[in-house]
Amino acid sequence: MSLLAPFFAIAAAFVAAGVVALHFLARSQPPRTLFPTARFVPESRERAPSRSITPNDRLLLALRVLAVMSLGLAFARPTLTVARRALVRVVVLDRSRAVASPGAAADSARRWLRDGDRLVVFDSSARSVGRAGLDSASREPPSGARGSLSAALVRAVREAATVREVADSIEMVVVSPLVAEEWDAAAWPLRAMWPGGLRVVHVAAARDSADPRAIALRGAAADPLRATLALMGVVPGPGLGAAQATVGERVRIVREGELTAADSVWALAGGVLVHWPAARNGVERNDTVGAVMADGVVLVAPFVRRASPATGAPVARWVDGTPAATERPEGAGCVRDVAVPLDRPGDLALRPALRRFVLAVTAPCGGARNFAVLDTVRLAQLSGNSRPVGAATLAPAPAAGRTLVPWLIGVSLLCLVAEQLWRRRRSDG
Amino acid sequence: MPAATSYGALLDALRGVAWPARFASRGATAGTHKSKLRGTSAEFTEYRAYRQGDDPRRLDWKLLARTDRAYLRITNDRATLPTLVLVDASASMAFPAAPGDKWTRACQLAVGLASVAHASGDPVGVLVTGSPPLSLPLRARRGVVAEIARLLQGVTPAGDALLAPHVRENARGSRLALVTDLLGDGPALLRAAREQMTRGVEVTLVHVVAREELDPPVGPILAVDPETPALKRPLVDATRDAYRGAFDAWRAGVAGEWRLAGARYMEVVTDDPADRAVRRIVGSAAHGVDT
Repeated sequence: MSLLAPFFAIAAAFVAAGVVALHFLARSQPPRTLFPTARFVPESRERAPSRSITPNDRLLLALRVLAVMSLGLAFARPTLTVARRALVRVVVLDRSRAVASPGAAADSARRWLRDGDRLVVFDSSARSVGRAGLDSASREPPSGARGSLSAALVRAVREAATVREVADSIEMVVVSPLVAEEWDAAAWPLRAMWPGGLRVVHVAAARDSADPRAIALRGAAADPLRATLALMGVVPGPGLGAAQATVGERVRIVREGELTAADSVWALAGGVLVHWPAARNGVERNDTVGAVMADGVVLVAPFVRRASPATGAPVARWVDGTPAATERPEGAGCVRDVAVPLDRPGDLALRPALRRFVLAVTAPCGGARNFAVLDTVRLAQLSGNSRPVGAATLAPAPAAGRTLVPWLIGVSLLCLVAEQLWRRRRSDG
Repeated sequence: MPAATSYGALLDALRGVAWPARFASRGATAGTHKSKLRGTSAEFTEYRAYRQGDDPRRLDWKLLARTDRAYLRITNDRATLPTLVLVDASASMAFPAAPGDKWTRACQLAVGLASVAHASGDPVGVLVTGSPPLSLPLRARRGVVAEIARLLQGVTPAGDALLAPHVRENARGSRLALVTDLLGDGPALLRAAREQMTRGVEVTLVHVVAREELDPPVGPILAVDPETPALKRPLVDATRDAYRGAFDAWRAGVAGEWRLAGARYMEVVTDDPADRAVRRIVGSAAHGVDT
């Protein structure tokens, strides 16, 4: 512990010594005696100074010395000296669906992690974990969620702020394939908040091997969606049963009947189950809306909106902003509920916009995948000069003593109050 | 608190002592004091020439027959003098500590004065201030002194009861003896005594003073007034002489005021023997000298 203003502590020590000396020279009150003619005694102070070998009223002396020393130390601003490290790393590990091998990514992160370093794992959200979290990250399968560099950067910068008091410099290491789908509009402004560079450790990106034409449809033979799928190059079998699954099937669209247990099992295995009934039982609402949007595709048509999709993350919205299709995760796959009516034959089924809309609502779980590695310009923006950041540039010099000052002042006030109470009690007694 | 039997030596020492009245008594009961009444006694004093208006029944008819001159035969009557002893029982009287305290000495003085007055055939009574005040009516019967002693035995000095109201309301006797330390309502007591003296009551003030008050103990003390606890003053070496001076001046002033008012003032210190103190009180009355 060091004192920023030691003069106050020295002054407090002198004052405390004076208090001790006064207790040796303290005035003493003579014994009380009933004396009927006290009125004839001249008025004078009740106490007379006297010297003694031992200090009188030691409790009072202790309270006074403690109060003076606490106040002096508080003004002296004591600071606690913390053992600092030359370099502390904040390792950001990608666990999103874009990572081909979580174990390899965890091994890469482990090579950069030392004792005292911080680890942040992220997919669509980011969180801080210890080294034990690294072991679990290497064992668990990758998250099915899309990665978000924005969330990772926010968390990493916050984590770096927590270690600035114990490190001279801080280095940020990003272990990620850094694919295009992880970059969003907020990524660059958030990257700019970090004054130093980022050490980028590339790991292998997953490959999107899904065949966009591997779509199965369960519905009537005259379903307009069959024509749309046919124009897309997909020829689903007309008699697909509830328990059947075609080879290489990636998406199953259920237009007729309810979802079955077999459908759920199939979705749990990683399939995209799209519940898009041609006709819904009952009418929840009955209004018209002019367009529906999904993943940048706008489909304009006079839709009669009769029902709302089930609860979940919206994947398509009506033009007024209300969800038109939702997605909820189901094991490794997901179940989508589409409330866009498409039950009448017409030219709508033949329009290219509908084909793009169908591609959007049959996209892999979590949205369309784009595992292309970031271009070199963005990578250069992200890595910057790759140098660690000095901890002093993040915040002013740490002053741990600040937390002690109010406590010391509190102790001093407490002692002064106790001293007053004790004196009053003694005078009453 | 003195026991009833402890007054025996005192009463023996006071046997034969009389407490003569300073003025002629107005009492009608035959006693030992000079009476303002004339003519009924057989004790001849002098002759006086008859003046118009004198009672012809008091003429000395034999002298008139022998000398043909009219003379009155003058005789003095003797009457009793009812005596009330009023004792201060405030907290200041319980100083310093029994048995040498002012209260013990006051009880001895009260019993001694009552016995002396009773020995002359005077009715005696006692009134002790306190809360509540205790009193014994004026009586001349035998045993009244013992009753007074028993009454005083049951009293413990406390509080700050005033004497002046009792002097105004209970002055039934022709002689009033006040036994007090005058540390309560001194000025009011003097006014009340003046009122009684204008009505012909003979007032004797016995001022009881403790030796420790005259000569305070050595060493610093914080003197606390027992009747006013808020009054606290340190009595140390530096203030001792000033205290003595103030106390002496106050006592001298009080003595002068009471004597000037016509009362008999006598200061009794606690280490004075009680019988000698009583003799001084009644002796000064006999000689008209206050010492």
